[in-house]
Amino acid sequence: MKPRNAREAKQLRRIEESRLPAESFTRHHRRRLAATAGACLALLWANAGVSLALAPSDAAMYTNFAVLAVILPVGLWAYGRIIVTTRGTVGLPAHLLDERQAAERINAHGTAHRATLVLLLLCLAAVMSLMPGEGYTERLPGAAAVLLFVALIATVAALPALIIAWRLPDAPPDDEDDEHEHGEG
Amino acid sequence: MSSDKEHVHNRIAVLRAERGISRRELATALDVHYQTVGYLERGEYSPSLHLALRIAEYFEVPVEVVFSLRPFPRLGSTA
Repeated sequence: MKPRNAREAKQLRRIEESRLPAESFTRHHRRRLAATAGACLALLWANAGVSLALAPSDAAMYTNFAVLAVILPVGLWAYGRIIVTTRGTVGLPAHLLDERQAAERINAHGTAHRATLVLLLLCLAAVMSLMPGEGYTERLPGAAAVLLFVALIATVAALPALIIAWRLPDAPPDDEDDEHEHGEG
Repeated sequence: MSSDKEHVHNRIAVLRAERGISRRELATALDVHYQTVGYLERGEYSPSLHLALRIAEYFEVPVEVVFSLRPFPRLGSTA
């Protein structure tokens, strides 16, 4: 669990020395963060759907810009908070995790893998239904195909983090010695 | 996968209190996150065999003194 370079040491310090209030580390707060990040992913999927229905058009383009303007800052903020509030179970390199944290991460990746496999099959079915034989290019706009891939990539990348944030139980309270050492004084 | 059948009882909190060791000190000695010690004490996480042996070695007691498949008798009981 030792950092191997300055970047990892900085990552670890950022998590260990976080000044977020104690309630930020509760399961309730982490679940709200996971829900926020999940809403950002849902917006990406909706954006792909809008492009599927309206592209190529100005309405589809403006919708795309508006969605990106919302989800980039909000999604990145939520992901950054999830890294800190899961104490690095999300985000830190594997060698900086102990066996419990590594097991949490592996379990979350297993669940996310199954969920994204189902998602990929649904996407395949949706795309296949839009290309019945010849002339499919008219029914599947290029912008929609690209946005569909963007939504898929974002989901595959972010889902394990969301699952970890959702699942982690409340941390045990610090023991009395620690409270005295780190309390007011 | 975890169930009551797989629950492993432990006396880490008792041993730690007896020796006046904080969770952070124990975690540093075991090279685990300090919250992991808390999860172990609350029985919300069962350690690997390797970690269990290291915990026993740290307290200088046999592993069965720290871990058991059955609940440990309460202090003062005659069991």
